[in-house]
Amino acid sequence: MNETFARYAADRHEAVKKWKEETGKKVYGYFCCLTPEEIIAAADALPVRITGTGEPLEQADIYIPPNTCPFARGCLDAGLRGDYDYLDGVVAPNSCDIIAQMHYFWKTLVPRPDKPHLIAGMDLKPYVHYIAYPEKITGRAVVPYYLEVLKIFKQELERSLKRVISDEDLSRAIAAYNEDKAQLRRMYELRKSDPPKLSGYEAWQATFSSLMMPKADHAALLSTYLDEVEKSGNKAPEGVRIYLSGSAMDQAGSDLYKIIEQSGGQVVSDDLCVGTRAFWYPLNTELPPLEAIARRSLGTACPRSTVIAPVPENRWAHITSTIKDYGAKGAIFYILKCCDARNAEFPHLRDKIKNELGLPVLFLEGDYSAEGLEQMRGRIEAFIEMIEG
Amino acid sequence: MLFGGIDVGAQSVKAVVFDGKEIIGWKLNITEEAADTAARIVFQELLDDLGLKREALSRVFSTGWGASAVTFADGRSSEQVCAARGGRWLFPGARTVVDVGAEGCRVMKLTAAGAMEDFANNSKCASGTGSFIELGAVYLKVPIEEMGALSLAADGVAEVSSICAVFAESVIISNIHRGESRQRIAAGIHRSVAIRINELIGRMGVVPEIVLLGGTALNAGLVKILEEMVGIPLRLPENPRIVGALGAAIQASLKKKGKTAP
Repeated sequence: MNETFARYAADRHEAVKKWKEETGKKVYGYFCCLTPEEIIAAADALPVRITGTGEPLEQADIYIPPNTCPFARGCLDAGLRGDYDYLDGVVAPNSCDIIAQMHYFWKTLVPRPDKPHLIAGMDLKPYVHYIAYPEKITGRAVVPYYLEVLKIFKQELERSLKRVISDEDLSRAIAAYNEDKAQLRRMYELRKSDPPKLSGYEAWQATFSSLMMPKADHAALLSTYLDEVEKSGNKAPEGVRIYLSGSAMDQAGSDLYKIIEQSGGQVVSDDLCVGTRAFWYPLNTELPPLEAIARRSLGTACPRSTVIAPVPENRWAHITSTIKDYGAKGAIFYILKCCDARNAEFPHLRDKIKNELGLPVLFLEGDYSAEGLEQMRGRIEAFIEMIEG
Repeated sequence: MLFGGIDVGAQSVKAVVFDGKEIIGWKLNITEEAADTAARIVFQELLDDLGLKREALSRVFSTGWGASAVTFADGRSSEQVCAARGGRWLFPGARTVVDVGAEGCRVMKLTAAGAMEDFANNSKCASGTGSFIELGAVYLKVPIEEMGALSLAADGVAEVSSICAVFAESVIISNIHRGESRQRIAAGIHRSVAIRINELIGRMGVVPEIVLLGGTALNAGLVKILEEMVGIPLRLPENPRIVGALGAAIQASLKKKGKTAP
């Protein structure tokens, strides 16, 4: 276990605030791994992933009906409590329906540090940025359209931060992102062995902290850590190899890794946005930098982008390789209540995984709370016992 | 060789002694103590009945909601696996085992060879479980044992919400106020529980033979409505409440090592 990663997993707010104090730089919060966060990094600011508290909600239910995504309500609750007061801006992409609306909720409900800079009714330096991510992610018009969206976002950032974001800045950020993605990929390679060289929880900590740290720093730290892991012969406790899929898997859900381990399983790979989806897709350095960023964002195989087919080919290819290459023996789906994107594709995915890959599938209905996770223990134990035979 | 199985359920605690071929003895107590104490008491009482000492048993496995609290067990096995084992042992043709206890409803799908290949659980909610029927009995002022007969005597079915045990109270009471007969309300309560169980059976695919376990299998009213919904007769054990404990004893006979407490 790495101390820095553990620190970020235990209290990300404290760790990020400390970084901000030491460097004097700006911090932007964002929702969803589709966000073109590379542009924020190119402006020498730190993009950090917004997550909820996982504790009982205090205020969010005053504003959003309780039968809305518990992750989104958890995030908004954290904002309303003031947990994110250290942010200099917030970015919400039009990914799933509720995350798209976080733009509106955050803008109207979470107090902002200064007044909007309105010119002719337009906020040229918004505190909450909206990324009009396309509904449709394939087709000739998509990349030119999305490039325009990213240019607007880049301009907003340039005005807010009073600096130009040049192609060199973007290329430098892309290089740092690619390096971190390569290290994370290396970490996942170490989980292919039996038993894996890192436990699911250790890998989760490293992935989670990558969403809160400057990528170059994270890559350097992870590289050293992985060298140590390779040298020391670190091994995860043996267990039935599990593929974990689901909705947002942040610190609020991370105990699931421990419960699976205590039940005789070991998570070896995943289809999670705090997981493979966060780093699986490197940026193409041959392209103009903004286009490379646009294509990475569009190419991220998110369940949100399943409007064209129940399980599009790029998603199924990603799922197949992360199950087969990692020797998973069972698939656990932890899907949050009201997560329509996930629930709508689940029946198709379940049948494909069972029939085409021959793996048993366990469905768990999550409510984004630690208490809810504990109630899953019995079913997880039964599932693992079933696979053990 | 003798093996023991202890099933600590939400409402009762059961113990079975099994010799690999037959049930040597069993005992059931209503849980009134902490899980570990309740398990010790029922187990000791069973050993006394059989004139056995603890040392006579090669291994003891626990299962059920309170399984991990049973400190004197040699291992534990999940309630789904134990119910599947026990159900299959009683009915060698079983492909689906339905276990409806006081607060849990589970459906296990078995391969032709008898291995559990999938299962479905109720979510954290009392609809579709025995305690829903018990609540209904309280509102109807009927002993729980008479609910089945009451339901069978109905000339129709009153509408009872299948969504929530808490709101069902108001639905049952408004049915009483509306002048619905107690028989029809009882049938409505059973229908509401059966809908939930049938959903889980449907999720596993209706593969006969289907065995029904748990205290609810003693309720002829529920069995009749559930059979009508599923469309095929259910196989009913003579003593449906101890099948989980039997499964734990079978697991103890098959496995050297079970899961230990977390």
